[in-house]
Amino acid sequence: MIETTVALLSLALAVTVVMLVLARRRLHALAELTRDIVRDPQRRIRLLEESPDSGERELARWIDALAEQVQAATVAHARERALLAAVADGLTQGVIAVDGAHRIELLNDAARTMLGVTSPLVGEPLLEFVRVPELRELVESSVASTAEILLPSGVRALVRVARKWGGEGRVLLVEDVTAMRRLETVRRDFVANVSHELRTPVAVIRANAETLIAGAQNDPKMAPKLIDGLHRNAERLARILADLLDLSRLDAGQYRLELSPVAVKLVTEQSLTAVEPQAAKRNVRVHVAIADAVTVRADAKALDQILVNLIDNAVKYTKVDGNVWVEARADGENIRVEVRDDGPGIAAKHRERVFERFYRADPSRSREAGGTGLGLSIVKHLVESMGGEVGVEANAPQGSIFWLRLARASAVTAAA
Amino acid sequence: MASHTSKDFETELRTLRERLCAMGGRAEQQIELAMKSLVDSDAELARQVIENDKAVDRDENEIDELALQILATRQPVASDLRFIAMSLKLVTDLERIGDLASGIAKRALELAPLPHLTTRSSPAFLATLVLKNLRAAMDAFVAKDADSANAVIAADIEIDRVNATLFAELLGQLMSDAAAVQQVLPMTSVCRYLERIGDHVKNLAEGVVYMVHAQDIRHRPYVAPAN
Ligand SMILES: Nc1ncnc2c1ncn2[C@@H]1O[C@H](COP(=O)(O)OP(=O)(O)OP(=O)(O)O)[C@@H](O)[C@H]1O
Ligand SMILES: [Mg+2]
Repeated sequence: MIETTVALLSLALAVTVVMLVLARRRLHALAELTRDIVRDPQRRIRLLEESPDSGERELARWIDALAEQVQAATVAHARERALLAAVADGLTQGVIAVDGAHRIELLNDAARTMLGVTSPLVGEPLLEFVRVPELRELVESSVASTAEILLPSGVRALVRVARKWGGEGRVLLVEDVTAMRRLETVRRDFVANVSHELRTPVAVIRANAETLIAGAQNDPKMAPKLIDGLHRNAERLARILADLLDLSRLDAGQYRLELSPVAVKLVTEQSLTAVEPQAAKRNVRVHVAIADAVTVRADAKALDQILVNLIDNAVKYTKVDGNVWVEARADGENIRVEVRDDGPGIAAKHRERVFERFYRADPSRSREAGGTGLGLSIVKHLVESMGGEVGVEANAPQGSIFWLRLARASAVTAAA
Repeated sequence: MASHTSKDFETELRTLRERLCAMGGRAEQQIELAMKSLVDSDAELARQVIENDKAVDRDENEIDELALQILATRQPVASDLRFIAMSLKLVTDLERIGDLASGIAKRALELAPLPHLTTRSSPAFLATLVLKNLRAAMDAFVAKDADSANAVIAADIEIDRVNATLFAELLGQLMSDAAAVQQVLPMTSVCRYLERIGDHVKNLAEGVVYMVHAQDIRHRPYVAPAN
């Protein structure tokens, strides 16, 4: 009785153990099968279509459906990222996104250019990479704020910081305002200068006229002096107005230039007659070294105006008994014309600005010499309208070199 | 709770790092602007640089305080401790660099009203070398890169060499043109300042090597670590 019970129980136990082992095996086999069909789409399709086991087919079908969903989600995600990157890179404004630990999550092309970097920088700590105290304060501040910052690359940037939705990070919008700030200075100076330039002669004219009316017209000693002052200042006003008019015509493109082969030497000799009196007065020697054959494509009248301005400046600003050299030579496809002097020269910080309207390196000297401060801006306009280039360099050991580059006329065979 | 605390510690260390970087950036900018004021004879810019030096001093105090506070409340060990110790050192070097930059600005202020000295020997090139080295030292600090830091240390020799040549040239000018003394003397000071900035940059780089390798190489010839 007991024995049979024990035997039965043992049997039941053995069967259970065997079943458990089998179940484990099946489970194991199932896991392996699942892994294989997840990894190997070919196998999945084979099973799906050919397996005699309906369970296997069912499994393959489910996994196939899941795989499709995952793939669709991945593609959508990638497309969204690409879209975001394309939008960000298309912006002229710089965009930088950082996470809560100030690590860069996104950096668009414009931001990269402004920071002067080429690497992607994603994952780098922004504030350790861009070491600017004001930027740190901006990123740290708890409210959305804006500041103008000078970046190490030399770019002046307007940076706006916003909190990121649903996160500790920040989004920075960076705008390059370097050119804008420079233009603002130029414009401010221009307005200030125009009013100043006009005010001085107008004040003189008014004062002289009032004195004359008040009775000086009958004073034989005073009257001629006052009238002379009236005349000189009216002339000066007229000159400023004529120059301004020239400039605005050039600006509006109404000044018609006709380009044809022009012999530089001939034009130079003609220009010299205009500055000779001034040169004689200051005992400045003008040395011209230009070969007859040097010919440029230019408008003869414009070239004359350019040279008169440059030589007039050189004669005016060099010292008494100084020297001026006018030279021209071939420079590849172009001709380089140089007007050099051995005067005091122009300090580096003024050099890049003397071509601006009314800009003067040494205002008192220039005004005393009767200048309006418009000459070089007209020169620059004329040269550029003829497709050329103009610039200024320091002359060694002293003085300035004003140069222009104009296209060589094809008629020329051998230049200087 | 524990993770919260260590996260705060992380944030504190990050803030310390970021503040040091910003101070380094400010020091760079001060040198750059001081040299610009010198080259352009721009008295207004020179004055601005001298004024800005206050911000460098403020940086020093605030970073010092932050580092000491972390030391006191967190009792860091090993590499964190080395980093904080190094910060305290770095900050003093950067503050000295700031002082020297404002010294350059003061010389620029003296030179601004005088006529330009027409000479080829300008400290501008020396300044470019020094600035490049300072930037490289800060980069090495950020990247914890001992090799780059060692390159910075090595480059200081070149700075000393350029400085010596420049100094000799300026002295030569003094000999040939006694009238130029007013312009030449401040220039020699500028050279000296730049050289001293170079020395502080070298200190920074040594600090970085120490931070990375836990090996104090100051006042000892450098031996490359075997690896
Ligand atoms: N050769 C030169 N040497 C030194 N300074 C110069 C020279 N040429 C120009 N400059 C500087 O550049 C400034 C601008 O020159 P620009 O010819 O435009 O004006 P201007 O000579 O003052 O007046 P104008 O309109 O009558 O020519 C001058 O005021 C002067 O300070
Ligand atoms: Mg002129």
